[in-house]
Amino acid sequence: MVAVTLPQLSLSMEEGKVLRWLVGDGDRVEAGQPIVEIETDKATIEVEAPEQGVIRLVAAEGAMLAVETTLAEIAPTAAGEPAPSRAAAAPPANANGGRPVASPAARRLAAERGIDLSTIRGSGPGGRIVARDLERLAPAPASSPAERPGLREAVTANIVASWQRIPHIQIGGELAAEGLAEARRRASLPSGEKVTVTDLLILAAVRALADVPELNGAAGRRAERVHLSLAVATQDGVVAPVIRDAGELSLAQVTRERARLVGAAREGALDPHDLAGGTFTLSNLGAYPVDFFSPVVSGPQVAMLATGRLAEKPVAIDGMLAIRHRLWANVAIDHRAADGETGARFLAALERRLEELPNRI
Amino acid sequence: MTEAGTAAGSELLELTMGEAINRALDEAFAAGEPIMHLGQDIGPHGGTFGVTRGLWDRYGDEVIRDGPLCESATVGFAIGLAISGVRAVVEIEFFDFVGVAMDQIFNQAAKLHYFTGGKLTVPLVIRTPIVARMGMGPQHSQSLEAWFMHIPGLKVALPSGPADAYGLMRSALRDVNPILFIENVRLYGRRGPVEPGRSVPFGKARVLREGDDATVVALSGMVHEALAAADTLAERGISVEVIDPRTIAPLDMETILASLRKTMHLAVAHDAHRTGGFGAEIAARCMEEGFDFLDAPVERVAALDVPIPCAPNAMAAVYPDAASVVAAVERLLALETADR
Amino acid sequence: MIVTLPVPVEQAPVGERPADLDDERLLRLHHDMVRVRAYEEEVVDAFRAGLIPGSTHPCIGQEAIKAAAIDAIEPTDLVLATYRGHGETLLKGVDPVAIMAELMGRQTGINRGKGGSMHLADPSVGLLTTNAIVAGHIPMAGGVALSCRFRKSGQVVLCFFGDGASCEGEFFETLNMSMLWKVPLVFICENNGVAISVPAEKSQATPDIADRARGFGMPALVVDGNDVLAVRAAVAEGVARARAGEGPTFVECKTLRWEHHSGFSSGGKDADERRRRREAVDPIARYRKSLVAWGVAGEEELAGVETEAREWVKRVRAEAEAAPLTGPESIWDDIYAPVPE
Repeated sequence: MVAVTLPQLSLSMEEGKVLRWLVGDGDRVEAGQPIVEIETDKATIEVEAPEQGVIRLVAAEGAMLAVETTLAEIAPTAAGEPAPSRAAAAPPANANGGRPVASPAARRLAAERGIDLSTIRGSGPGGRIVARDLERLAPAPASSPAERPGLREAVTANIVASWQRIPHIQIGGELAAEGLAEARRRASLPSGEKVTVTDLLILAAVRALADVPELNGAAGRRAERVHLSLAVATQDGVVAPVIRDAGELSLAQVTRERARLVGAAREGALDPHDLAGGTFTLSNLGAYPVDFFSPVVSGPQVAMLATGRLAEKPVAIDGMLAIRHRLWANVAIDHRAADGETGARFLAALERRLEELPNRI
Repeated sequence: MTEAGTAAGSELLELTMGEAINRALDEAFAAGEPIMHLGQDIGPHGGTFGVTRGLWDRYGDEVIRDGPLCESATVGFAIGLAISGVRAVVEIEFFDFVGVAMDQIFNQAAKLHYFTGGKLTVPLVIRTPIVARMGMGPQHSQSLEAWFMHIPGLKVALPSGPADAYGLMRSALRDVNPILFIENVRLYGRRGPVEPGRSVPFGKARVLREGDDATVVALSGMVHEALAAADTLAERGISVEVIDPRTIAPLDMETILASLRKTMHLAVAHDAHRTGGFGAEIAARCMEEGFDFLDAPVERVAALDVPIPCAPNAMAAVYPDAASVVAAVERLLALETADR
Repeated sequence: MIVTLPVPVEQAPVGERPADLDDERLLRLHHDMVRVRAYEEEVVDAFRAGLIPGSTHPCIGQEAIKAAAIDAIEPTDLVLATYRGHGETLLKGVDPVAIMAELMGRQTGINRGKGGSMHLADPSVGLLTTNAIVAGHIPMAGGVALSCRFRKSGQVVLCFFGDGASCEGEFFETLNMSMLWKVPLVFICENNGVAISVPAEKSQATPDIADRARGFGMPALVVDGNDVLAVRAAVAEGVARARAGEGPTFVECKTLRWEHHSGFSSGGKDADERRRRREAVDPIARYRKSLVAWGVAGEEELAGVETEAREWVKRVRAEAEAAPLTGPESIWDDIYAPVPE
């Protein structure tokens, strides 16, 4: 069996969309025959069959897949052999009123691995998605299906799925951050707990989401309340515990909750409730000499804010050189939910909210 | 009774399934407790299929008791013996004749313990062979085990080989419940190793062959067809797990479900008719208790829902065989099949 | 003498007092019949009051057969009977409160409420089981008798059944097998002339069911089932034969059923006529007539037994009624008997 994978057509290409199959499932194909149209950010290209044989389609039309993902498999046959007929015709897998036809086992495996069944073409009778179709797309994690996937595996699976599914746009800019800097200087809590830049960024981001609510939400629904996922680096990788109802919290409450969740994350003591239900993610790498990074949106959320270091930079003001605090902020957005203009408005709102911080803490 | 052998240092015997059952009966009759075997042709004749050969010579008329040809009263007498201190074994010569004795089996034997609030026990073994595939026609060819699985209070065993036949008969003759011990004429001649003293417990299935791609649960004669099918499929790189439940009441569903969770593809194979057969019960339970592990619907490999005809080619079209099991596994795995 | 119906009380001859039964024994027979009558009448009353679920089958009018047969056996002998078996169950020694509680579906019932009126059993006093399937218990009785012979226990088995059962295949099979194997069994056929609603002339090819037993070479007697002493003598003859190892005996008792099969006569155009016909052959009245004639007891004393019996059964009923109903807590019990290690 020969796998036909999504080719990397340029160095920068990370993913492509299956636009249209040019052959049918079970057809005999010749080596070099075009079998599928792929859309990249640059162009639409045709992919050819590497061998002759009988083709089994794996990826569904419309699926956005990472480079190297298996698109189809070809069972080589000798020339002149007739293609064996399949037991049943294969209508598209999501012919069932929009709900993919899948075996119960396939559904379970898809749920466990965070795979969207609508991106898979079924090889079972009548186009039913069966377990082996998921194996082809994303091999099973090391743990057996009967066990609960570990936290790390679940996070990785979600990253993979998000990367494959979500069409990202990244809107970034270097924002004025004097307000942030001053707030950091002045902020102190009666309890003596230390207020960090992250705490202030949380406050500002949450307020900016009130100005641009299109970016707050998950699973296709705009959310009323903000449950902010905070990316935390731990020994086992990045996890994102959720600060619930962040829009209602004071600075003191944010600080306390942030400290609690980060501590628990680092000790591996988070429970599933802490990780569920986030509507927007903040990832702050400002402790490092990092200005810009483009994160992967954490599906099913629609946006993630990546912030770099708070630093003094030379700027031009009224034609004169000056030194001001600046902060690079990049918002990654699911392009299906919002576009560049929304991201731009969000950054504008964020900049305003950062500037007003000294008066509102 | 556990499966651990109880006779230390005993050598393995090579016995046919008929000889194995004979040996278990012999041991029970020799043990000295009150026990009697009723039936027809079981005495000097040694049984139509030779299973009781030699017992009458050893134990005589009182104990190995040929009687009139009346299954109903014969089973009734056996129940009477059982409830008053004498363990009873009855042979119903062909499984097809069990209908004549049905009331005694399902209304009396099965229920006496229950409706007397536990005061009467019925240590009764009803032995009867499936006479499938012998070309004897519709009334001499049936596998009716599903009827008895349906009745609370009965135990039902279907050994597929000598060791299990011996071990299950040993357990049956120590049990105090009414038991349908379903033998198989085509399997009586099968040879295999038997460990003297080793009982096989009721309610424990046996995994005869391990596999990862599909599970076949098979009864009685179809066990061997399933194993042959597994060999055929192995040549194509498909690994099939074969399970013999051995007793269908009580039934070891846990072993079957564990296999389903592993392979996600399950077929049931039996000589009985498809509708309302054992396979239907397994399919329902897999759906109820293993739904999320079903990658395909449960396949039932069974006799067609027609009376079994006499002529060989007609008969062959009705019963399933190894090829039917292979085809079922192919459907489970949604493989392509050559035209059959 | 072949008797086709019970002889009416008025016409029944008193005859000689049996030499082998003393006063106490004679009075006990009366006492037993009266108790069974009182018990069954109370059961009818309880049924009409809705206390007995399902159905019940009283033996009112057939008490002589029960009392006579049980009197002819030893406590160690064994009895199997039908769903119309409250009488023999009671007389064999099963606790009357436990029987009543079983009918009422109570936890203190003899079968914990799981069997009901048609499935009474108490092996500890030799009442192995009653049965709801017509003739279903007959071959089992044969097997129990075979067991007694095999174990050389010296026990005899009585098997009660009706004219309806004598038409089932298993009945004939059992006659054959019992004679063949010479089992110590006495068949007691209560021919009350009707099987549910089908009269004997529509189900019996010959006038006497005993003919069937004779067809298998079995000794068979036909007696007036409402003459308690005649029944007793016939059963005793069969018991003696069985105990001597000479095989089974068939005793056909001609009698009359007072109530409907299981529902109860609730009037109707000919209710009075039917009552007249029944009371005319009342076995208790007939026996009372003999006892008085022989000077064994006076009318008042005998009437006193009836009063005492009615009071007794009221106490029995009250105690049974007070017990808790059997609920779902025991439905999974006793499906299988535990297997010894």
